[in-house]
Amino acid sequence: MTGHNDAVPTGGTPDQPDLAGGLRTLRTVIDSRLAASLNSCVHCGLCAESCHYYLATGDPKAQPAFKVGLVQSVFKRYQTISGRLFPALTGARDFDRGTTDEWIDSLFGLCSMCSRCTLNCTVGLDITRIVRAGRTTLAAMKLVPSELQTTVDTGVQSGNNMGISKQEWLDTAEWLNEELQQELASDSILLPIDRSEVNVLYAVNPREVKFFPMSLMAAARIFYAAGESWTFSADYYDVTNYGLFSGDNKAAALMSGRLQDALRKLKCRTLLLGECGHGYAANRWEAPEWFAATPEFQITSIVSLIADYIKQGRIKLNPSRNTKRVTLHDPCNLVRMGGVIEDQRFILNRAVTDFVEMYPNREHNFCCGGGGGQLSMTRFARRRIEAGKIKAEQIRKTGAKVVATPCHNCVDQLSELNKEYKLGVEIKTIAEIVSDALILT
Amino acid sequence: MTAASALHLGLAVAAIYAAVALTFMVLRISTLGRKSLFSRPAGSESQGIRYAFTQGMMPSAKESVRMHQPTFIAGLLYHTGVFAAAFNLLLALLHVPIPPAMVLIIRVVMLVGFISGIALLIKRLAMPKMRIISTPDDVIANIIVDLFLATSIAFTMSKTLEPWLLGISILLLLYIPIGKIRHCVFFFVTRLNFGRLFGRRGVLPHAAERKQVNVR
Amino acid sequence: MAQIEINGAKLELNDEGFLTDPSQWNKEVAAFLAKAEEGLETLTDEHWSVINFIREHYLQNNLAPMVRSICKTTGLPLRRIYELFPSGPAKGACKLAGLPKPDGCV
Repeated sequence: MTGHNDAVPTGGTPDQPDLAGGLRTLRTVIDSRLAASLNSCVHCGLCAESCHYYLATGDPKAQPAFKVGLVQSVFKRYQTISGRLFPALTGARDFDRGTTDEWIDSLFGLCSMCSRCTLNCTVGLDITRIVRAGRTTLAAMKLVPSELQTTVDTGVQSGNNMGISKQEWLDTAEWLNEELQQELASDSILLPIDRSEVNVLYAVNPREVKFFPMSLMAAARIFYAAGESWTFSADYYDVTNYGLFSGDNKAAALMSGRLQDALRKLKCRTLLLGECGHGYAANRWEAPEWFAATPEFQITSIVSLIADYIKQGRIKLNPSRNTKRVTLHDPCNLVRMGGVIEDQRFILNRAVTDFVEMYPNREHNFCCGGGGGQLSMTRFARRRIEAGKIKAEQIRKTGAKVVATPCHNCVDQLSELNKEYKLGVEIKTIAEIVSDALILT
Repeated sequence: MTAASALHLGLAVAAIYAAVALTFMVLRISTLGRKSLFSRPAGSESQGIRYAFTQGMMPSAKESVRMHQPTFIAGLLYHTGVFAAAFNLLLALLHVPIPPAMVLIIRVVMLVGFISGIALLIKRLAMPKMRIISTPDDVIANIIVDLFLATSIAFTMSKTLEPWLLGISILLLLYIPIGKIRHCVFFFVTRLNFGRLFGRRGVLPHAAERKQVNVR
Repeated sequence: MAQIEINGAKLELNDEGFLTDPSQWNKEVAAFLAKAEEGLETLTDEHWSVINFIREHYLQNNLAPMVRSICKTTGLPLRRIYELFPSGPAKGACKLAGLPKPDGCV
């Protein structure tokens, strides 16, 4: 998902989209790797069952090859010689309102960008990047579903995707700090803000700040136990990046850039990404491409850092505090597309007494259904819940009472699945489980 | 110029055209976008590429293949038949004598390939799920290759069919760059990129060692 | 979209069970949603203190309040909020208070 090709801003409105501008954008986002992919699909159809949307519904339009075909047909029509000469033969297709409507319904409405099809493609097409190229094209024409677009806009305008004011953020941090000081009988600052020249700048999901601050306290407890030198930034702390999902590279780069700037301003050594799948993929893997620059600092997931603490003996855990059976959901963007695969397992094996895998797992795991911006797009909520059936069944088969997952976006979708499919489980982040097992001396 | 030598010349021209067109297409796309990546690798691109072309090609490597064994096997036999037919054509053009036993083997391989090709075509046309992702090119490419296999088989039984074999071969070569058969070169480019992507991110090749753990 | 009827008034819920038109909210709607969405048979004073505060905050600011404000105003400890509303403050309490779905990963 190299994003050096910014969406070319076009005129037009959602009602009168600038189709020519959209085509210009498509041309710029198709780099050599994508063009190779688009020239390689043989429509074998074997990818269908890798997709949870297809598995859950059997809708032939949900199969990845169909989504690839939507973009491929337009690519052929305007960017290949045979497609221009023989459109009917090659399945090349004009880019018109009918096409954009289908793209919106399919590329936004039937894909969580989980990349399971990419891993399973018999040829090796980067299907997720093809879908994202389509989304970038739609973004340039202002055709991103409004619920997803407002999440991006809120992030761009307020500095975080929930529109939390700076005062509210500082008040919340102070409140949590007081609670934690009381709990740990400590008078040092346990949730530091804007401390400079420390090791770690910690970025989190704004939903933790607004609605679910227990996980912030859990992380602070772990840092306290490990003796970590760390800080939050008063200005920019949002690890999420919905520009990755809307396809808008300019917004995406702006948001990731703010985290990088906050780190440079505070002269920290490590940008520590909270438990967020797409936030990891965006900031760890995509942002360097958006800026065409290798960051001079480390970018790490808190999952990897916690695993290091355990390995180095910086924190000690008592697993008998977590005796319920725990299974693990692998967030696609952290695991399959992120490469953080074993650390969460290493941790759980030491933080709980009864850890069981669900199957398939690791990079083969199924998406919870909440990725790709699906959680924000209410208009596609029914499909999201229905597609989540695959994950629900995976969980049910483990007999687990707790589902651990290092991603707050997954937590929310899993919570909905828990309710819808009556799984009777608790959903927890890794930090929360570690915090519960932490031996504080 | 005799009809036979005209066909030979035509075949040579078609082969050169196909090679030039495919080379042009690969070079053309290689100019698009930026080449270097800036994220710090977590794994090894070269190991990922090696995996992509070795263990990653095994039928056990991908769930999509494990779930579709008959299609995978048909595809494998189809491609093997095509390679056998190309080999057969090359030997005929070079007037290399082939021992009868080998002729028989080649013929069987091509026949199995032909049957597989027809089976895949029927699957594509019969299943709604396949029809919706198919274009005329998907059908035509299959038919042209099936014809190539059929004439190759017939040619092994009667050398008098050489003009037919040459004619169909010319048609095939002319069609390769136009439609999906271009994957004969793009497959390798895409596969390479696949290995680079998952290798760089530290996802593959570790997966292969963990196969037993991952899936049940 | 789902249609519901409460005391003769027709209301529309979106696909996530949030009230389509927040101005149609009243206590009966809250009680209905509590049962339908959260499985709560009755709403206690603790529930109402949270719901009423969220509602007031929304009418004044057009935004859901921070969970910190909810705790500070109602005097309830943080953990209690999640016990009261199984789906949490966003998809639980805010929904019952008739707010539209908040932005972000919720």
